[in-house]
Amino acid sequence: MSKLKKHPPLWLLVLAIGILLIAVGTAQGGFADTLRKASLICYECIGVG
Amino acid sequence: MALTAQFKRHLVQLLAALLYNLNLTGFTTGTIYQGSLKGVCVPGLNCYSCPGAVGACPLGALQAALVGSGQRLPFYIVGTILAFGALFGRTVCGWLCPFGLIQDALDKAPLPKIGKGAWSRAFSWGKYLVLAGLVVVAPVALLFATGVGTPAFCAWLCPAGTLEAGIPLLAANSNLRIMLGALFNWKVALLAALGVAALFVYRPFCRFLCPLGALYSFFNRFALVRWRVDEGKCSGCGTCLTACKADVRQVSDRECIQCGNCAPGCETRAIRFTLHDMLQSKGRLAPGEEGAARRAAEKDDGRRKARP
Ligand code: SF4
Ligand code: SF4
Repeated sequence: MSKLKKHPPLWLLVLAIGILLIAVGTAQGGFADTLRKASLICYECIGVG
Repeated sequence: MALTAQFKRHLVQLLAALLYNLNLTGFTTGTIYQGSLKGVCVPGLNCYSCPGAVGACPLGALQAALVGSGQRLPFYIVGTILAFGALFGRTVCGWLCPFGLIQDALDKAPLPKIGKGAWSRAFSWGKYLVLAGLVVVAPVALLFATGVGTPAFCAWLCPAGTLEAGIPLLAANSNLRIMLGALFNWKVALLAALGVAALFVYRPFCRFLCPLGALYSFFNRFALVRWRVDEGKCSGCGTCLTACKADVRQVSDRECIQCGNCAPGCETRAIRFTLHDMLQSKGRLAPGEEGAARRAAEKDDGRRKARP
């Protein structure tokens, strides 16, 4: 009989850690920081900064 | 007429590029979108200062978080990269990145091509140097040394920023044009050099320089959506590695951009797209289990046949 995996796949574990970090980071203000940065023209990105 | 697999992939690339850049009016006004979606990262390399961009660039956001959030660790953006990596790995590169699409288009030019070899395999480590040096070390080091954290990759190297943000914004916004200088000239020269290189060498930026591809490569072997080889079917002929234009040693290794170019040439049809399998049959064996299951079944069969 073929042996089927019993443990969750690695991608699922990493995804769960990622989602947890997103939640913690959002609570810490990470989303707001990203929004603030991305809403202003980045002079470095366009090559004049 | 049936669409080829590569044509479908290019359609997905195009759709992703459009979805990332839905703020089309920005191109005429020379301004950028400032709605709250901008706090969410897109998976591919798409500059958040592109007039069309409706989401954030993961690399720009990572550098900004490393130098701009005081004592806080950049959990939000690291979590985002982990989530994209776990779901897609470098499928992002092959299917969801506008800069990858542009290089694929340049590769279609009917010009002599310089194939992969030991030289390109050696150059492929360059993207890890860029990731460590320009995305992580330089911004943080500059912050400590000067008090100003510069996103070094964006400032000195990123060709997507020049193409998607610099050129359209400067074309439409005269206030920005007065700030032009040597840095812009350097970035345009670099963009032009990469564009010319992409006519002769397959995806030079992705293979040798892109730190986002380097990040996603760590997830490539186990991501949910990817190509995988059914070891029970693989004859070891190596046709897939010959067909591949990237520097892979195995399908779905760190260099594989998950384009699927190798799959049609596989005579035993051992190369399968996990997403395709998942959609076709729920309840089948999970990715990676088929080969083992087949071998076990064959062994079982053999034992039974061998019995008198
Ligand atoms: S390697 Fe970088 S530029 Fe190339 S497709 Fe992947 S994310 Fe996009
Ligand atoms: S191994 Fe196959 S899927 Fe991966 S990059 Fe090469 S051709 Fe594309």
